[in-house]
Amino acid sequence: MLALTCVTARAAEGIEITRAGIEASDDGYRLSAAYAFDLTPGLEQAIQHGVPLSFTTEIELTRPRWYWTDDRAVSSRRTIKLNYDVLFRVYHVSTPGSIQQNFDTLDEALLAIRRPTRWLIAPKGALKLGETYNVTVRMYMDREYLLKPLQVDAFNNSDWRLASHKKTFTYRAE
Amino acid sequence: MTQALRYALVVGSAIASILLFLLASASNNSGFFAHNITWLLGMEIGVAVALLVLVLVAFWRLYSRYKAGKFGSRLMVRLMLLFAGIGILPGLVVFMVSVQFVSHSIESWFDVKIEAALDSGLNLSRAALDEALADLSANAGTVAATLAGQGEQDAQSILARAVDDSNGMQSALLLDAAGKVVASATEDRHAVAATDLPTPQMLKQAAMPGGYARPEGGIDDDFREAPGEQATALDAATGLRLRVVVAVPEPPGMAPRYLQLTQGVPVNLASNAAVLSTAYREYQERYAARRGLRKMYIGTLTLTLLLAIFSAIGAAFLIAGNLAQPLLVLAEGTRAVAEGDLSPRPIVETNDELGTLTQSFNAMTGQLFEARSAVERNRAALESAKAHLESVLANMSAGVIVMDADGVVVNANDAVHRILQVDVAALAGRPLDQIDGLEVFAGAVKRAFSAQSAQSAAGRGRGRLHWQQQIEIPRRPGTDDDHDITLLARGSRLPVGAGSGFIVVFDDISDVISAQRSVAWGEVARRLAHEIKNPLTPIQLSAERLQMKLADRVDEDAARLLNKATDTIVSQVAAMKRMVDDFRDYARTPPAMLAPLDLNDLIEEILNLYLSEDGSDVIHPSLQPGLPKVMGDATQLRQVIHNLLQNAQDALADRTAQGDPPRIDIVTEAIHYVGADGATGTAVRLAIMDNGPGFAPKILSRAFEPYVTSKARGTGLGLPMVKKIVEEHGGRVDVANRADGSGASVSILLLKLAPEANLAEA
Repeated sequence: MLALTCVTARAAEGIEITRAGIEASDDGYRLSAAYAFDLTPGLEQAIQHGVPLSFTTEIELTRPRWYWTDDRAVSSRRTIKLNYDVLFRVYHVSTPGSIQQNFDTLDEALLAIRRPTRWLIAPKGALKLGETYNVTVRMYMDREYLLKPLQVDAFNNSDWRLASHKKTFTYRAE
Repeated sequence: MTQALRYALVVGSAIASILLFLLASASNNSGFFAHNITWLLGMEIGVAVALLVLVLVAFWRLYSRYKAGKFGSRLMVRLMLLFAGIGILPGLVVFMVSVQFVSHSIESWFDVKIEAALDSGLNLSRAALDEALADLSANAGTVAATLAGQGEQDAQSILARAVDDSNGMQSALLLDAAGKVVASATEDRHAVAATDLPTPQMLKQAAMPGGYARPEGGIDDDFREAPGEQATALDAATGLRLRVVVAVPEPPGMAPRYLQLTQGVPVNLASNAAVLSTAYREYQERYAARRGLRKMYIGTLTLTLLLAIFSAIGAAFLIAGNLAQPLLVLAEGTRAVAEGDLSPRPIVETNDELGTLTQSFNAMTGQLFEARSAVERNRAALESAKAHLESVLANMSAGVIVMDADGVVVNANDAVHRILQVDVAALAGRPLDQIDGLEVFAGAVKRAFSAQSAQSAAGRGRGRLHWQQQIEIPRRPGTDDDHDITLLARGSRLPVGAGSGFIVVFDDISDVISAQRSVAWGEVARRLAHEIKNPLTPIQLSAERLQMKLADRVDEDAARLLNKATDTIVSQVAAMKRMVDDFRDYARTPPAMLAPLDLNDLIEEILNLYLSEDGSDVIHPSLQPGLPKVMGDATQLRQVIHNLLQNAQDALADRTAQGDPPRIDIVTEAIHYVGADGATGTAVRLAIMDNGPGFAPKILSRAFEPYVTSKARGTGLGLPMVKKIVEEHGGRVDVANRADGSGASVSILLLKLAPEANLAEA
């Protein structure tokens, strides 16, 4: 019960999805998105002391069906990790499916997270052409990868909460 | 506390315990539950809330019972508070200490000195790396200077010499502007240096003053996810290396070339630096998490405390309920006993003193029940005996009056009412001599008791506890019967209540007196008849002789006088003879010769003499056919019927009423009755009724006494004769006026039936 209220409260903090769209390409459908956010002082301090952070993007494509429950065509998530090497003073951003990027400054690293590479969410053929899908996108700092005490702390510590509202738009499959 | 509440508390506590255990395991930072710690926490809080609700409900129930003053609730409250206190206080103390301990110890782990040491170590590592990098950069500058303007072959040898000269240098590459290897030398001859080419960004940076100088490697395995980035042998050996890329200072006009030098960091430095950086990171992570850790511990502790408190309260309720229950059962029992319910209480199934107490309580109520039922039985027996006595008294033919010492009537039976015509029982509580109509009786009784007292005082009559006396009391005025009642009364003293009392038993002996009178009359009549009859014949003969002898000798006048006188004498003597014969007949009725007889036949035979069959008959027989034969003397019964019919006809002659025609009914019927021995019997009843004036009240009660008659002529021996004959036949005769007051009715009941009557019918 308490956990549920936390989830809803968390959704209201910090991250704004400035742009989100689905592009059809040769190898499948890609999500092209941009986010606007700043790290809270607590998070910034943590990352500079070497605590790794993870940012997860969730996307879900559903097709309403009048005769049955909605068809969940795509449900996918991607986690981008941000890490600071205290010894070499380098920020690493690692995205699944691409090379680890190194940055000298935090802003550069965050820029890579704010404007991530386009993400292949579904292979070609996963969507029915011509059908209209409801797309739900959400982006948040993933606490699953934190130490458990930090997870507990995040219950009622806004320093450790960073999440976007759910952004919903429709997409007509091409 | 209801059963459901109990079970809910027990189950809730059990769930809470399990969840607490899981929560404690989850704090180990591993395993399945670690991932679901939030859900565990949520569930735990939910269970705590549920338990809280349960406990509140239990409290509320207890409070309302306490308010209502329900029995046992005070004890429950005391026990409950006691047990809850015992459970809660130690828990609170442990909780306080633990919270203090946890918050202080966690803070103490994160020491400024440790942090400073880690910082210093980190700086030291960085400094060492920086120095090595600076050395390598200087080396690179030197090599680059020598490489300037050199051809490919020279460059190769220069590079090889540089690698050989330098300690720890892994590789030296000379690249052109496009990044292509111009010349290379490696420490390990077999390694393929071409795999470790600088990126275009590095080359770009190298073109700037200062060049590119960066330590590489030592990256967490987690981040080495990109495909194609294979761990090189060098990486595997040290994990850390230094890379320097500088632009070769070419003479003007030549294409730019770049020199890359890579050098492994000494293994102990690399490993120590890696350990240090890991430790630093983990320390920082923990430092950031210290608040969460404290929250987690305190939260777990608080939850544990809450659950323990609620469970303790719940357990207190259960224990208090269990302890108080036998007492409540006993209290309920005492109240039930006070209300008279002696049924056994449910026994508390324990072996301790409480169980024994309830058992002995039940034994006590059992004995009480036994005693009470014995009393009940005795009372019922007494009551039935009393009722029996009362019914005997009530149905007694003799009148019984009980008085106290002052002569006040205490009790009287129904027979008193019947005999005295005064309902004395209804007047109980009044002195006997103040009851209307009993003044004579009361006076006689009082005198009798006084006389007895006097006799006792005089010393005579000792041993006789009662007196016996015949009392004549006049009929009450206003009744239709005006002759006296003769009572035979017996009185005795008896103890009634605290003082003494009197009891008077009396019987109406008017009938007995009447019977005695009849017998006396019979005897008188027999003697008188005998004495009178003897001189009658000589008188008659003498008179006839006088007439016969003197008739011729006297003159005509004298003769006429003589004849007249003698005729008078003879006729009067004859009348007297007849009267004497009647007396004799009454006194000397021959014994009845009983033989089987059909009463109907006899009546029909007699009626032949009376009936003219012309429709003007006043006699209407109504004879029941199939009447059983009776034992009787036909001659005597014939006389009875004649007498009764004669009486009826005489009565009809006296009637003055103009209304109904004169009428006489003769009825016979068989009567079934229940004898004293319980067997059913059959009797024959003969009734003769007329619609004449009926019996005068004075006559009615003495109708069967001789010489009592309402007729101008008649000896008054008719009905006494009838009675005598009927009684000789073992029957009963009864005279009465008809219920509607018109005429008389005589009814004869013949009880002796012919023994062979049934056989004859069969």
